[in-house]
Amino acid sequence: MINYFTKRKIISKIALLLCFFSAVWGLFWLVFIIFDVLRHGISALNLSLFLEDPAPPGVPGGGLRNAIVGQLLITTFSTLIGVPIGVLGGTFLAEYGRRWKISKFISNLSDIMISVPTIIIGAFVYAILVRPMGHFSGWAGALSLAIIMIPVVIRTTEDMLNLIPWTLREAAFALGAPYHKVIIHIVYRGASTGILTGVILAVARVSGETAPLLFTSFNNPYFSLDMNNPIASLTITIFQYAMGPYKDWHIKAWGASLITTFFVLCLTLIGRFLIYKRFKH
Amino acid sequence: MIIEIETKNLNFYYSGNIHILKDINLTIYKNKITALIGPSGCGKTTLLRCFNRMHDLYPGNRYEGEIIFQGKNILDKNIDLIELRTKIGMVFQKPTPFPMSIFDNIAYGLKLRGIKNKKELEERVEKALKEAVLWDEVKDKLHESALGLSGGQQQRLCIARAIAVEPEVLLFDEPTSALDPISTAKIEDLIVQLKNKITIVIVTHNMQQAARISDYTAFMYLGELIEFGPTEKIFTTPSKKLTEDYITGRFG
Repeated sequence: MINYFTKRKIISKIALLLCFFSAVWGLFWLVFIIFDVLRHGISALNLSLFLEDPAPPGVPGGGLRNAIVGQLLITTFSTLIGVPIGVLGGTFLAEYGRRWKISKFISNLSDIMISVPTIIIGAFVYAILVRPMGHFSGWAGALSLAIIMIPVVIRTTEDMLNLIPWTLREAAFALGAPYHKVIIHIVYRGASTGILTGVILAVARVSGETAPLLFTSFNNPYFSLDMNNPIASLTITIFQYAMGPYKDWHIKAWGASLITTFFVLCLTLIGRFLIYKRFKH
Repeated sequence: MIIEIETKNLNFYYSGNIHILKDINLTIYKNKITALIGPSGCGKTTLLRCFNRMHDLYPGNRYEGEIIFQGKNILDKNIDLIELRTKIGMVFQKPTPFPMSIFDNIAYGLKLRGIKNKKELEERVEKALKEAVLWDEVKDKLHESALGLSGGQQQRLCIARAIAVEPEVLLFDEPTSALDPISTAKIEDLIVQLKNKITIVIVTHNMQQAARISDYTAFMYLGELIEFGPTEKIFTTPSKKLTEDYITGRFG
């Protein structure tokens, strides 16, 4: 008969080991993927990748300037559309709308929207924007990414605002502050880090989306700043080049992967830096 | 003695129809400290929060009767709550420093009143912090976060923030229940000093505290005002048996 405490210790050790190996297992793949992207991607990196547009298919050389700029345009505009709507929507749910039953419904709906396959959102935007316009466009791409972003930002904003204790709001009300000032000066201030994190996560998430862009912004082998027309993006380029028959395309796809990964990494680091700066003061 | 606030047949119902306050008739005298005592759930905090209409923040609450302040019934529909709350301030049970610097915490209420002049802000922040006996402890770190202060300091900061805007009445909701005895003593001294300028209503669970600092005491039980009178009388010769039982610790 094993001593009761010895038994507890053994169980604890087993649990610890399981946790440890799960973490190692997860990390292994993570490092593997990032290392692989880095290994293949770095060989593709050179100045012409950023400064030149693609060469004709099968002809070596050229770069991905069109895709990089297109990706930035689409992501920026989707953020400009999605973040204000998301933050204001989340604010409504957590503050003004909390008396109404419909808020709970919208909140649940956002949860569902977060997990809707993004290709469906792409098809939706195709139906409401691409078809009526008659052609693919950068705006359609930005809109589809914004739609993906909105529920994420709504829910994080709502959750972060709900974390601010009501006593803090009451204290501001007790000083005679009107509701909008309580929200802007007190609630947002307390929740800003959380909201920012949510926004960055949302931007990072849509930066890697491919499926909705296939239906909306499609692709463009030429350099274009015209959001009214098809526009290239890194993710679609990865999809197209990785599936293509040319060795040079494969290398460029790795390069695009590295750029995308690096971009998301930078976003995260900027977010962290802002958080750090905020708390330092 | 001047009457500051008077409630007339005040009834209050929580979310829907839970009857919390029953026919409260209470007089708050100007420049006096009135303590509201009673066992948990007797409605003393609910009554306190009627005076600045804090209950309006939550849906389904309903008042009946009248609360007369400066000749007006503050339960009227067309009362400007923002104006009311600038005249009747509040300090809460737990310290509620805003997530900003010490200076900005005090200046917040002043800025809400439209004071933008930097010099005037600085003067009034300093004055409020001195009145709240916090100045010496924080004068070198005015622009550091208020969240770094100790609990007692945070509570005095909240008092400073409330008095900076020069309210006429200050409501205290168990302001020392989360604090240690030394911080409590400091805040009690402070409250007694404040009554020269401000009328004070304080909810407290601590009967010794009520006896120490208040001029008038109201004893409440199950949503009713059982007895109201000068603190000395309530604590020495209460006229109701229930009051005596509570004060001598037989229940509650």
